[in-house]
Amino acid sequence: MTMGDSNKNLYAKMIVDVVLGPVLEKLEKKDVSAAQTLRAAFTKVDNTLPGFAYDYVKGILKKAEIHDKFDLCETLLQLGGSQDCEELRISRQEPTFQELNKCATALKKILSRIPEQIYDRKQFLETIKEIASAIKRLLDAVNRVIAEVPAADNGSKQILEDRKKEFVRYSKKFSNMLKEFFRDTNQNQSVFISANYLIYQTNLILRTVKQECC
Amino acid sequence: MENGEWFNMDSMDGMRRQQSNYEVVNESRNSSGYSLQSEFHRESDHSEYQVQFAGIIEDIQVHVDITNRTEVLRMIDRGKMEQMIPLKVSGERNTILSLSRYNIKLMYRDHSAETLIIRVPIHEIAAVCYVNDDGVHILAVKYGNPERCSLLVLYCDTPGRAERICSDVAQCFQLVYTDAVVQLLEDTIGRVENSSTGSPTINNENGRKYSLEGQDNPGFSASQLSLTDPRNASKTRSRSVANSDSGQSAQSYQAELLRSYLEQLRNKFSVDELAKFSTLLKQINEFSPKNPMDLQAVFKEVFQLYGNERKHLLAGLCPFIYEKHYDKFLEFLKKQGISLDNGTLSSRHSFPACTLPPSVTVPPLLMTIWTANWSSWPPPPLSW
Repeated sequence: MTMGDSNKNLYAKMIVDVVLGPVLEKLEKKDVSAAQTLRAAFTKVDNTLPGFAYDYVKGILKKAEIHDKFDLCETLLQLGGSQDCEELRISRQEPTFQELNKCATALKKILSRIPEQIYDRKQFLETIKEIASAIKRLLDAVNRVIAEVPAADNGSKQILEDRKKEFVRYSKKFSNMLKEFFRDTNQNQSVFISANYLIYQTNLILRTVKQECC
Repeated sequence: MENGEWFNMDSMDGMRRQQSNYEVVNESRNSSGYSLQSEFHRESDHSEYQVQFAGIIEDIQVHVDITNRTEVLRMIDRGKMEQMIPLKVSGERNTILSLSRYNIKLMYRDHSAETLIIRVPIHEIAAVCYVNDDGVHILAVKYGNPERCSLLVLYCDTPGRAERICSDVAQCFQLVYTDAVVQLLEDTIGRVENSSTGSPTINNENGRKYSLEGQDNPGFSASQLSLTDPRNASKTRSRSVANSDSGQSAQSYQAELLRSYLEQLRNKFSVDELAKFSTLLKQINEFSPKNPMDLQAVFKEVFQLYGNERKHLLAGLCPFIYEKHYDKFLEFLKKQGISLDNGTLSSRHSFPACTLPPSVTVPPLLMTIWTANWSSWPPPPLSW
């Protein structure tokens, strides 16, 4: 597979969320200042040079001579469901927001199982059914959050609605990739990539809710 | 063998029994007994097998234990006693079983002429069983609807052929199930896309409000298959298939569903009755009643047309009722004691009901069929 720019950017953002984020969170417990400086630096560089985080981690893996021992796309997908950091958790304690946290985590967890289940047709079909339910629950939760935004705050409502629409767009892409895969089982990488996009979009929803509501 | 090899569409539990056979017989298949690449992917793919047609045993109870070899042989013995199937099959006529992802078709083939014996859509098949009875290789196909099942009995020359047919039917089951699951995902996404937050100020990109009953999504409900509405081809992608091939596949599948139902009716109804059916179905789907009782009156007319002996076919009408009247139709069926409750994929209830948007229409399609000369049945391949 040729690494398109958009895929590289996706991997970079996933690496920030599921590799660097959790590591920096652990570092924060020992040295808050160092962790925050590093976090700000990575964010700034990645915004200026999209894909930097990917190149950085690839460089480390090459140095360790393990860059060709595993598939990065698959690994990021598996990590996407198991790694969570404070940055992606909504702190508001009201049930609506906690429900959104739960639904987001649940969807990411199910998506992260795809690499190990995709070759067992029966199991994979059950997973797809679970993904359908999880998507519904997540978007229902988003709708409930949007409903709680004060009526006067139309700007925030619109931002959240746009974020929701974007998520739906990537959900449809995921569904189309599944169809392609069932026609040609060599298309598994496309399924992994689109599932990664869905995890990334889920994280974006969480970030947006944090930004607009917390 | 204690039990026959049953290939159950619903739970696929029967698959496990045949796994050990297939690891030996079909080494190209993966550990769960299937080729990773299905041989029936393309709509034109089909396989043919030489078999002997024994007959059809009617009035099989829906809840009969289909995993029990003894039960199967008992049904066949009953069929022989009641002369539904002969004691011996001569094998003089060349009988071909044609299998595609849409249906099983049984035909006599003499030189260049083919005579259709029966066509059974894949989604109506509950299970396929291979039983070796003292060297006689029996293939039994249980099919039907929630009200009534039948058993199609075939004989194969060799166990390998019987097992191959079972395996290939299992592939087709899997394709149908896979399509249904992916469709479920699409429908769920479409439904949540259009779910409202309750805010009157939230509009879509085109400045129009989405609603399930709105113009953009005429007649769709959450769990229903959709066809691309050409009027909204650039919008409302939530309800349509983005890829033309997969859209064509969904459309062809629904076309096949319609053809299959119409063929059922053709076998049971007179020409006049079919014409009346067409008018009544059009009335239901184009109905905008001021008084809800008027719609009930139309339902009653349909029920009277079907009559007591054919009322079990009414359940099959569900996929062709538009969303706006679907719930009322279901209610009406329940009042008449026609149940849709069956957890298997062979039932209408489990299988996602489909509705067709007005632009891709049942009424014009039916009009095409009904106004055509009956000598031209079956109708030509449908294209949307």
